[in-house]
Amino acid sequence: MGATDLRGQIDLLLLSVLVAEPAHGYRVIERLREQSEGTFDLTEGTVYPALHRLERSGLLESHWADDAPRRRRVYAVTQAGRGSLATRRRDWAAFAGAMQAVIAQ
Amino acid sequence: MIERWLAEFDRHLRVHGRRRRRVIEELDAHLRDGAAAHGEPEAVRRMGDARTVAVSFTPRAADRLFEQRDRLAALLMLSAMAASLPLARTMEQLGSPGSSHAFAWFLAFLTPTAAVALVSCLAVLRRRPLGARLAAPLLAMVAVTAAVVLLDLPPSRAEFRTYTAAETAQTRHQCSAADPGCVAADHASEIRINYSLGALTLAGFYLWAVTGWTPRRRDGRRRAIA
Repeated sequence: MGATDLRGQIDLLLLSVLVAEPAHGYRVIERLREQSEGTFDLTEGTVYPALHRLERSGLLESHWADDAPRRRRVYAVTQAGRGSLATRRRDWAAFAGAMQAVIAQ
Repeated sequence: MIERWLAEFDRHLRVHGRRRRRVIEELDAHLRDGAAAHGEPEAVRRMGDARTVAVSFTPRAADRLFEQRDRLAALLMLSAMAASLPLARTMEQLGSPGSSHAFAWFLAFLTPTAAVALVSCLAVLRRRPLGARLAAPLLAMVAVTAAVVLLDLPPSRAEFRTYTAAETAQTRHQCSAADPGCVAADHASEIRINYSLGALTLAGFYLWAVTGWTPRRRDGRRRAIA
């Protein structure tokens, strides 16, 4: 499943991955792939603009970490991001439930 | 391959200054991690088309404006407070000497409300969580103050009697516009209605902008904006 299929849900996925543990972009993409068992195999270049947008919105914060052999930008969810994630999770659960109710018939 | 991808990306990136350097450094690190794990061709393939990625870093003006709505609301609130200062000065002048109504009014309602608004706005501008947390109490304080003014309850009742007296004096004697009493008379209706409803509207907008809070819909759920 690529970025086009996930349009509108990428923010929810990124916040969900990062709320467990702060991480840099490469690790975020790895976790997305691992946790979805390969279903969410994103074009990696699409993840960084989303991370930057979430940071500008105040939902993420970031800092440089000097991990050898190169320094990386590590992202973490802010307090506002946690609140937004809780709302998005509820909305998604309601949406998924309604979809399931319709398509299961 | 990585250098060629980054050069292509750099050519199309419409982001400037420190942010540009940061974006390029992040993607460079990402590509080298990918190359170490899967080889350069696969790392570049996974990253996607350089031009498309570069373009997606350029936010539309409307998106940027929406993302900054909390700070814009804070600036609007601070501007409205600054614009109200001459009125506050007039009230203070009317309240002294001889009458303590204006002072009591300031102390009981306006000063705490203004202080909460100021702290909240400064916190929002610095993206501190306190700013959003104070937005709902601020709306409540503004609502109470507006209700007191609009329902003509004490201590505002005595204050507006002073205005009425000044208005009468203005009508009878054509007093000077430099006289605070005359100025207050000119603004009596604005203070009572326009300022109260304006402050309520502004505080409601501020709450929406900094927290994403909206009234409940019919299904009982709130809409999320952030």
